[in-house]
Amino acid sequence: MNLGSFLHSLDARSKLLTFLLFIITVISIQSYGILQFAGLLLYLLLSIILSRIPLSFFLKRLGFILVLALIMGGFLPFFKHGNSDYQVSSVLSMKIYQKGLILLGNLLIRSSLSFLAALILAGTTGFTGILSSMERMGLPSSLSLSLGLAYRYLFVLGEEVVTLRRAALSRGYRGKWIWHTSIIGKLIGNLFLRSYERSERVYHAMLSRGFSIKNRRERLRGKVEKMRRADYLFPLASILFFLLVRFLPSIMVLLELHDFQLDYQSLSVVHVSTIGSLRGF
Amino acid sequence: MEKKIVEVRHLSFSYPDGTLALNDVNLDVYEGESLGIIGGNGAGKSTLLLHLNGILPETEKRRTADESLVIVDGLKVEKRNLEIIRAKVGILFQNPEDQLFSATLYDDIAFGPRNMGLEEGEVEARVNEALERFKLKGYSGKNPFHLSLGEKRLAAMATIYSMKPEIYCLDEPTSNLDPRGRRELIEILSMMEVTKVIVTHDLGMVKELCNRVVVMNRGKVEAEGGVDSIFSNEDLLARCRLK
Repeated sequence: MNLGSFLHSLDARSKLLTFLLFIITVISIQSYGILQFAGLLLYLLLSIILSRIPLSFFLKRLGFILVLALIMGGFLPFFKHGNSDYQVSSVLSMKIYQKGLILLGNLLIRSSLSFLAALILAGTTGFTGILSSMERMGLPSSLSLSLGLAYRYLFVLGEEVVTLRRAALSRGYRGKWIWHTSIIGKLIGNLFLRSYERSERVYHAMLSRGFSIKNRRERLRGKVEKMRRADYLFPLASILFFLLVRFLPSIMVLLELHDFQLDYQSLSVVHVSTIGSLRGF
Repeated sequence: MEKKIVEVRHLSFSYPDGTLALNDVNLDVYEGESLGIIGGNGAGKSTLLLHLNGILPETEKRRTADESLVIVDGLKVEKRNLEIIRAKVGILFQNPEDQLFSATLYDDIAFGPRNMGLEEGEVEARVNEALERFKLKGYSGKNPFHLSLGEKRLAAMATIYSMKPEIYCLDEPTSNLDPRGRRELIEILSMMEVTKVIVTHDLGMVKELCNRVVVMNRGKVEAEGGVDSIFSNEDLLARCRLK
């Protein structure tokens, strides 16, 4: 939904480029870059304020990505990463290593920051807006169309699942036990058949209202909106900030900001010592 | 009511399983008239409607007989004319769930006007007009699948209304509507001064809205004529499973 905010009003291409570069910056920062991550988090918080989207929207969804990241990286602390790695604690006779913990921490921070950026982009632009701007930036038309149709069919498929489930439940199906597996298999098979037929009817509905690939291409080509000053300034200011954040350690060394550098390093030391304190866990 | 806006000549069509849905159908629709197409289940009414908008020859070309000819406002229904024909002929499907597919009702209603290449401001104006007309204001951000069946029917109507077609092809427009919804829709349709082709089992609506009636049976046009003469023919109605 368009909340009429500054971010909503920006051209989709400008937002896509900015948040793509944000994610690249997040990935390129080395471990221990606490100040850098904090800087990027600050940037995201400012973007959230500019988007006028309630914070709860992001917090609710952030939980999913954190769980996913934990599933993917939850085992990392239990493996030794090189000879210099050392044990900080143990759980149920399994050793926990320092580098693994740092890797897990990094995974959680990076995935959260990247996911938040993607959410801001999706929340202020919408999927179709993102797709059309990607197409204007060179994504093959057939790929963009396939993604668009897949997105459209997701809702249709969701409706089919609900209908099928209702039909099954109305006749006493509960689907709790292992012997229900074959029924679930049949339902999934039925879902595929229904989805196929339904997709054909949806295609008819699209055709009947003038949809055609040629028509769509022309529409996109004809409706390239002119970028305004803000559409250039926002990514430009953001890129400068990302560069500053990305090269912060080098800049501090170059400017011989030893005291500040010490602070920066001490933050890293705090980070390590926090992990070290887990020894007593 | 002199100008023929739709001409159907020798139209035959069979479904992939071999069922002959249309068998040498010939039909004329005149500009500004409201034509009712009635008949029992499986008479071929919906299949005929799909040909008027060019859906079936395009997606199932092999199944339409070579000698078949459909002309809409002087244009033969064939690939090179489909873009213009689809802007002229709005089609309402029997099942509203087949018509709605977007994430929001706004996007669904805007889909047709956008395909017509209209400016976004004009699209928005048309969407709002359609929402107002079909009493769906306040639903624009909703997922169409979350509407009630009656609301889905009205939403499906709104999706073609926003295209401002010259010919409305409506397949069972009053099904799933409660009595008040049905009455309101009939009133809206009666006020619309456009050509209407209405496929229905709702004989009451045909009596109220249509000037002329075509009766179909087993893929053929069984009879056509004025409303009174068709409805007074008891044998015909019984033979075509309408009584």
